[in-house]
Amino acid sequence: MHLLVPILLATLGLQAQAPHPSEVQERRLANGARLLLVERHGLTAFHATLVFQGGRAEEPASAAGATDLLARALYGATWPEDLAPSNAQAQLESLLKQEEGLLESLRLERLRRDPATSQIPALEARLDAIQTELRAHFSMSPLQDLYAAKGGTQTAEATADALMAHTELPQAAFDLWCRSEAQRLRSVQLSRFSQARAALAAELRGQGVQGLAMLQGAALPGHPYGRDLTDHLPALEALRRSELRAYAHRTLRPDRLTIILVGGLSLESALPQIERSLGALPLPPDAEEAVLPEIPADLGDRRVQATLGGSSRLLTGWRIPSRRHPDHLALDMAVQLLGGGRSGRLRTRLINEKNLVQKADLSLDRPGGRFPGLLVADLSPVDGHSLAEVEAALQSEILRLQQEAIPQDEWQRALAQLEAEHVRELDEPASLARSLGLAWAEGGDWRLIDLDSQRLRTLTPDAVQMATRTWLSPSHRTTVLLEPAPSASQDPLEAAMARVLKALASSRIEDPAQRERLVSDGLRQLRMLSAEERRHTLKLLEAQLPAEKR
Amino acid sequence: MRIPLAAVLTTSLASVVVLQAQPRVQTFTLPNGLRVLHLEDHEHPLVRARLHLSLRPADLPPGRQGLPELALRMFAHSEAGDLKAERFDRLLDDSGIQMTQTADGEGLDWRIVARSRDQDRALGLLADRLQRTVFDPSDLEIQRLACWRQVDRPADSPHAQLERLLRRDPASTPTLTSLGAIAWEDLLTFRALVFRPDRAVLVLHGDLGLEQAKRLVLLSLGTWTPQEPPKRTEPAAPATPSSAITAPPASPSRISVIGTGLRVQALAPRPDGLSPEAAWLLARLVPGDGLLFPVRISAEPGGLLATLDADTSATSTHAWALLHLRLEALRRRGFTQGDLDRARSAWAETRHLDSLHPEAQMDAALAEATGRGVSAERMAALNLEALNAALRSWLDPAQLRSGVSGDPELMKTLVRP
Repeated sequence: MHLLVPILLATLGLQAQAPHPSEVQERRLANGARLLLVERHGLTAFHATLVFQGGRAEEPASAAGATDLLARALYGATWPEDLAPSNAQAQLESLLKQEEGLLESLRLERLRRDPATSQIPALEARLDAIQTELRAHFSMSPLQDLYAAKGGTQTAEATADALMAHTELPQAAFDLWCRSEAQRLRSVQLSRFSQARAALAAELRGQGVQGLAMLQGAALPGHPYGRDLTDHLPALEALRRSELRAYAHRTLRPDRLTIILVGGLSLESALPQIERSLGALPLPPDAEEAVLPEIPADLGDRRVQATLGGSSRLLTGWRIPSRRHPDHLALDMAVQLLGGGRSGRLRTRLINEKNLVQKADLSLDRPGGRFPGLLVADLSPVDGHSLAEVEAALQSEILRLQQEAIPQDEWQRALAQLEAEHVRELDEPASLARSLGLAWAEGGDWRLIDLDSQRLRTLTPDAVQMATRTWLSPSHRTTVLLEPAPSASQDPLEAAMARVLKALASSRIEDPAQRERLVSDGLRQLRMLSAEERRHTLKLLEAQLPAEKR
Repeated sequence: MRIPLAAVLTTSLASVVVLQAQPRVQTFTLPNGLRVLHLEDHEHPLVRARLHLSLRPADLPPGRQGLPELALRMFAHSEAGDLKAERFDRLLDDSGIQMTQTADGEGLDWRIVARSRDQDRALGLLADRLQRTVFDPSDLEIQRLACWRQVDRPADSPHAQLERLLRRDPASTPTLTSLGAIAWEDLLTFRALVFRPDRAVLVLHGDLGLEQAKRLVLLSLGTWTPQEPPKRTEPAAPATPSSAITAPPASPSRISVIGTGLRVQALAPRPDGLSPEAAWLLARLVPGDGLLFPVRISAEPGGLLATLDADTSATSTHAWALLHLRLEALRRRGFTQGDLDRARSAWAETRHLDSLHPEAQMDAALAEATGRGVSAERMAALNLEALNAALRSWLDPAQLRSGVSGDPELMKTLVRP
């Protein structure tokens, strides 16, 4: 019997506790940066995430794509030559300036498109020579990357609301990480800027028109959340290294930075090193806050029809409030009821019972959660069923959710899934750091991840129905109907429209970049018309062209 | 060749540190032959399980590519014991249990993540799925079609489509013909051959002790016994398309996108017989090597993927030749002893990072158990000649799978190497 006590005690001691934000220790550094540290005993490595509030939403149109470029060119790797003090890099800097000038000359020459006087071959040869010289200054092996050499990994992501850089390293490399990150922000060297810009432009060109981007553009017109980066390719290709550096210095400020550390580090050991490095970064003079337009949620029911290569797809987006709004959690629960897990309503009814849809995905806060965004339903019909049928079935499910009582077992199931997801989210260092970072960037407070979990326990089915009646109404809705192109990758009507718009623009606008942007914007707006209306518009536009250009 | 003492010491020391910081792997085997690897970690109230079934070449009859993927779909959409598929899914959702299944060239895997309080239900449902699933013949055509959609994915971007096509090994890639040729008997035979406890490894990680794990596994999977394969009355039919699938297959090497530049890619599949140690080192050394410029290489699960985006008309014409030229230059040059030492040192350090990822700990334990893991001893013994021989074999031009996406007009000007 006396053996039972130690066994019981040992068993109790082994029981794990759900992670709690009280584990998160917060400190504010002298320059305004925040430090969030979660100590995980026994780990011999750490995960670090740097979160800069802002992201794509705060980019001016002239710098569209800057956050994506910074994710690649500034945080894509950690080359020793990028972290050397600037006075030791005079020759590299001079070559980078020459490369910048040549790239710009080449871009303008290519836009001029005059074969008779083309300077392109000569410029390309000079650029090639400069880039060969530049490469002599670059590290030639990935294992010269400071973090890779220490066994670490590094990734970065540009979101609508933030730039996030994630690093994982063995504990022993913590001091190296602190010094490197501070130096990275001081110098913003961007030595491989031209490669990063070319790779991003090629990716955007290759992906073509995306259904989700089309939906966001139509649902959030005029707001950066509705911006499609592919429409801004000319601006992206015109963005220079010096301009991106200036943009980085303005936006990647310590007072907009949160440093999140999860691992075997204690606050006592980590804080002094953080204060000496990232905490010592100078705070630039106050920058102007970006003023973003407000879009009324009840903008009206909007519809877009388009023909894209691929398969049929229905995308419906409802304008919803930002993450801090009291209704946001209720909408999260609505998404769970409709599309969560393996037994959500859309899957059960539209896929399993009616065999109407082959795929049904729901997501919240597209493209971000800091400002009012979208709740998106993405459905693909089974062959033989039309998009109109799918649209009607989706609308029926929305009405059922708004009007019929939610069964208790279904409610409990959705609740269990959200709770389990919360536990999983807090488990791995990378997912915990990302959740904390997004909560801060989108909601202004990292504690939201726990507050939402607490509020979930007091959420009622009535509150969910009330929120869905308010926000998932036709006046908040935008629908995109995508039909596959029969054979070509681009709709012939759209190709003809692009040709006419380009011809019209070239006769009236001098600046080639502005011209291409105007054509992209025009095409996006024309996609909102029916096929018949587009054919009619094409005729009207063609009539404005001189006869030889028709 | 002598092994540098410093490298051996670094490696050994790192191994000791890592072993101290991560859960110890404890193993046991059930009487039915199921091997279990257990990693105890009480940091959070979560339990993870991964059941791995290894595949052998003899499991797949010729011309039946896609059989593992189709079998997985049939499992996921069939009744398990007295539970209909929808009821099964609801039970998982009732407890917020995540269950996913995947198939690749090496095997089939089920992965589960559950709160520790739901571990009994999670393992019980996995056992139901494995042991008591009853296939419905009338579901075969539906799942065959769904399987093709899963493979085809026409909605992907052109770049994603090209990469997907290159990543697939033609010998195991499902086609319309191969999926259409899979007969009911093929499915049952495959299930009987592969779904056996003595071919399975179960990895458990998280908030459960060893004794608890033994009890749980014995209760849920202790009664798992192999099934008898069906007796074939006639030989397997030759591969012909099913009537349900009529769409033509996508071209494996050319994808047209009007108005875009050319992207040329080549995938070097990992060669058979390449040691895990050489594979790890080359996957770190090759990508980003300065000699490759302007070609970029990334290490993917299926091999090394080389990409060249041609942005000018001049580069477009010779893009393919340039890409092959750069790969060949690297293949001939090889790496130096300094490169090898740096990569080996990075490997020793990288092991610390597994402590941040429970799934990585499980993968490492499984790889070790199935003889696919990187061993410290073999890593220390690998010399430069062996590394460069492995590089030459991996970048063998005869094995490259090449493809191009972009404007069809530009494609016409492309000179093939």
